[in-house]
Amino acid sequence: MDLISLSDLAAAFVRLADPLVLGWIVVGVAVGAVFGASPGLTATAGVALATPLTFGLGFEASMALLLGLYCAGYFAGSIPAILVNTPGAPGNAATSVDGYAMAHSGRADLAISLSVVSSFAGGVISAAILMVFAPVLAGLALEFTSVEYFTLALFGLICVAAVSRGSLVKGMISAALGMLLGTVGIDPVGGMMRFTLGLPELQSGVSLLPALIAFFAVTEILAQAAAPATGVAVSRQQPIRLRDLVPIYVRHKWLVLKSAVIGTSTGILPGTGPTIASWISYGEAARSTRDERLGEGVPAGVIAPETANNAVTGGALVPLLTLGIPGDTVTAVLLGAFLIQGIDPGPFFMVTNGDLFALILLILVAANILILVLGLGLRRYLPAILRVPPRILLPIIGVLCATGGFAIGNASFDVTLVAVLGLAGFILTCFGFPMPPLVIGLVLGPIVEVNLRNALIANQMDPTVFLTRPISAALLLALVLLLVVAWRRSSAR
Amino acid sequence: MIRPIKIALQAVLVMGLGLLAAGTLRAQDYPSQAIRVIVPFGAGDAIDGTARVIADRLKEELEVPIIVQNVPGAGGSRGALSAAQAPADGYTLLMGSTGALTAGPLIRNAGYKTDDFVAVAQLVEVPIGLAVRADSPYQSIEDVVEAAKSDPGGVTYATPAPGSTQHINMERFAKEQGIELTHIGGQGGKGAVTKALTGEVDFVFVGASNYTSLADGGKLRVLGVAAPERVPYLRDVPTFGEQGYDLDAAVWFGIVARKDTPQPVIDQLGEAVAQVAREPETKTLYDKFHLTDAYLDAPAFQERIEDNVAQHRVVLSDIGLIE
Repeated sequence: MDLISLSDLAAAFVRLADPLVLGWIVVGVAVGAVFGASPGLTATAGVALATPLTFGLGFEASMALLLGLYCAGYFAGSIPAILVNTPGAPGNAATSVDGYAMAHSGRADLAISLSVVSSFAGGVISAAILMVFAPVLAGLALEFTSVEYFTLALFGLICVAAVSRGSLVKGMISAALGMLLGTVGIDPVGGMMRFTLGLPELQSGVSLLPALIAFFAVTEILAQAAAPATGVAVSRQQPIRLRDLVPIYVRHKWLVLKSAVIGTSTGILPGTGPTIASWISYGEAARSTRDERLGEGVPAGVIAPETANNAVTGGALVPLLTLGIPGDTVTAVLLGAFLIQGIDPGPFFMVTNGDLFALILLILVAANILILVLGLGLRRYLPAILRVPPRILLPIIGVLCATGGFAIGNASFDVTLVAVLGLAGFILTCFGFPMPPLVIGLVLGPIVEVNLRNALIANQMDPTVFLTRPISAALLLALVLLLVVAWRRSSAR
Repeated sequence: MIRPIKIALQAVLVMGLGLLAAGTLRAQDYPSQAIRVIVPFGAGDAIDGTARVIADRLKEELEVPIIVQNVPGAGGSRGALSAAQAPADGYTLLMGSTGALTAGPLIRNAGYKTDDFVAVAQLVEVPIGLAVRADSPYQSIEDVVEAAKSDPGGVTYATPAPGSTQHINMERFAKEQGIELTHIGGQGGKGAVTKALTGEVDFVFVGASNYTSLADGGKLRVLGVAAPERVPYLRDVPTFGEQGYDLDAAVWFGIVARKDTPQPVIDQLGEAVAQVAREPETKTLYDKFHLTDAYLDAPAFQERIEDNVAQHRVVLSDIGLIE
C-alpha cells in the first residue's frame, strides 16, 4: 500500500485550518484534560459522553472534538498523579511513583514539564508511526493469539521488580494479591462466579478504576493522616526554566524513542492500553538506566510512562483504521462515532478515504501541540495546590475519591469498594507492602489467566505451543535472559 | 440592579409553583419527574447510541427529562441489577438485552431474576452470523458441520463470552446437528472476531454487524446469517435457512420496567416508545449502526423473553453452565 498522498495531506491542512475545526480541538483538549485529571473519570468515559454530541456535527468537527479529548485525556491524569499521588486515570499510575516523589522534594514544576513534553513526544511519534507504517503494522495485531498475549503479560510482570523498592519478596506478594483480586467475578473462560462473597455486585469483578483510587489516593490520604502533623512537610517548590529541560531530554533521547515504540506497539494490540504500556516502559527504564534512584523521583521515571501512554493513541488507531478493530477502550468508542458519520472503518478505509486519514493524522498532531502549549503555560500555577495545608487538601481529595468511585458505574457499591480496598491498602503499606505491584498484578493477572487457559483450550491442551510459536518463544527467551542477567548482577554485588 | 432581582423573584415563583404542581400531580399523572433509563453497557456503543437518541425523542413525547445512565459490567447483568433494585414506579427503566435478561440470571446469582422485569417494547435486534478467515477451507455451513463430524471437538469457535446468547445458540445448533465444538470466549464481539482473524479459532459466531467492513475488505468470509431473511448490510451472504439449516438467532434489545409497575404506566410508556420507534429518523439511525428494526409491543416482547428463557435453560444445562 502506498503512503499517504501529498494532495490528501494538503487538502487536510485546508480543512484543519477551518477555525471551527480548530475550535473543536480546543474544546476536546479542555474537556479531555478535565476527564483525564478527575479520578474515576477517564478519556474513555469522556469520549463516550461526547460521542452522542457529534451526531449533528460533520466528520471534521466530530474527529477534532473526540481525538482532542482522547489525547488530552491520556495526558492529564499525570497532573494529579504528580501533585497528590492520585492518578487521574489508570494509564498515569506509573507516573505517580517518581512524579509524586519529585513534587514532594520541591520539583513539581519539573515533573509536570517533563510529563507535558513527554506526552507531546509520545503522541507525535505515534502519529508519525501511524502515518508511515499503519498498513504494515496491522499485520502485527493479527500475529497475537492467546499464546502471545500470555507470554507478553508474563514478560510485563517483570516490571514488578522495578517498582518493588525495598523488598522484592514483599513486592511479589503484593503482585500476587493483585492477581488474586483479579480473579473475583465471572470466570472469563468457564462463565462461573468466583470469590464474589455472595455479593451480586461483585460479578463484574474488581475493576481497575476503583482499585486505583483506593490503592493510590485513599491509601496515601490515610498514610498522611496517620503521620504526625509536622512529619510530612513538602519542600519549597523550585520553578524551572524551559531550557533546563534540554539536557534532560538529550540524555534520555533513546528512552523517549523506546517508550514511544513500546506505547505504540502496545496500542496496536487489541485488549491492552495505556496502563500496560506505561508500566512496561517504566520497567524498561529501570532496566536500561540502571539508576538506583528510580522510584525516588528521577526524570526517567516520568518520561518513560508519560511518553508511552500517549504513544498508545496513534498505535490504537492502527487496527481501528485498518481492520475496524479497536486497539484500546477509547478507540472502541470511536468506532461508534465513525459509524454515525456513515464510515465503517476496515481494510478499505485508507484506500478509499485517504483524505479522512490525513485529516485524522493532522488533528492528532494539532491536539498534541495544543497539549504542549497549554501544559507548559499552566505548569507554574498547578503546584500551587501543594501549598494548601493537608488538613484542607486531604478531605477534598477524599471527597473526590468518593465521587470518582461513584462516577465509574453510577453505583454506590463502588464507593464502598473504594473505601474497603483503600483501608486494606493502608494496612498493607503499614507492613511495607508497596502498592504499585498490586495494581500491576490486578492489570496483568487476568490477562495471564484468561490467555493461558484459552491458549491451551485452542491447542488441545498442548503446552509446547508457547515454545513453537516464534513471537512467544522470543518473548520467553528474552524473559529468561533478563532474569539471568539480573540474577548474575545481584549475586556479583 | 432591578432586573436581576426581578429575574430572581420570577425564578423563585416559578420554582415554587413547580414544586406545588409536582406535589399535587404526583399521584395521578405519570410521568411527573425525570425518568432514568439504565443502559447496562458502556457509553458510546451502538446500543448506548440508540438509547440516547430514543431518550431524546421520548423526552418530547413524555414531556419530562429522560436520563440515560450507563452501568456496564458482567455482560449487562450489573446494570440489570441496579434497575432491579429501583422502585417499581416507572421512573427507572432498563435497556434490556438477551444475555442480561434471559441468560445471566439463569447461570449465576445475578441478584435479580428475569421475572423481576416486565416488557415495555422490543426495539432492535442483530442477527448472529458465522464467519471464517478468508483463507479458511470452509466455504459453507455444511463444510463446518462436516469438519466437526469427522473431528469431534477439533473445530474451535469464538463468541463474546461464555454463557452469551451467541455461545448458547451455537451450542444449541451443535446439539441439533449432533456435532461437538470447542468454545473460546473472545472478550467481546470484536475480540471474538479478532480470534478468527488471527487463526486462533476456526470460526466466529457474533452479531453479523461486526463483519461488514472486514467482509468487504476480503479479510473475513461470512458463511451464513442465522436470520429468516438476508440482512441489508451483507446482501451476498445466504441465511442458515437457505443452506438447509433451521437456525434463527439474534441478540435483541428492548425496554423493560420493574414488575409491579402499574399497568397504566406501562401502557403509556409503550405508546410513547411505539411512536418514537415508528419515526423515519429512528430507522435512519438503526441503519447507520447496522441494527435491524424489530419493534414488538409489550405482550409480544414478553412472550419472546419467556420463550428465550425456556430455550436457554435447556441448552445451558446441556453444556453444564446450570445444573
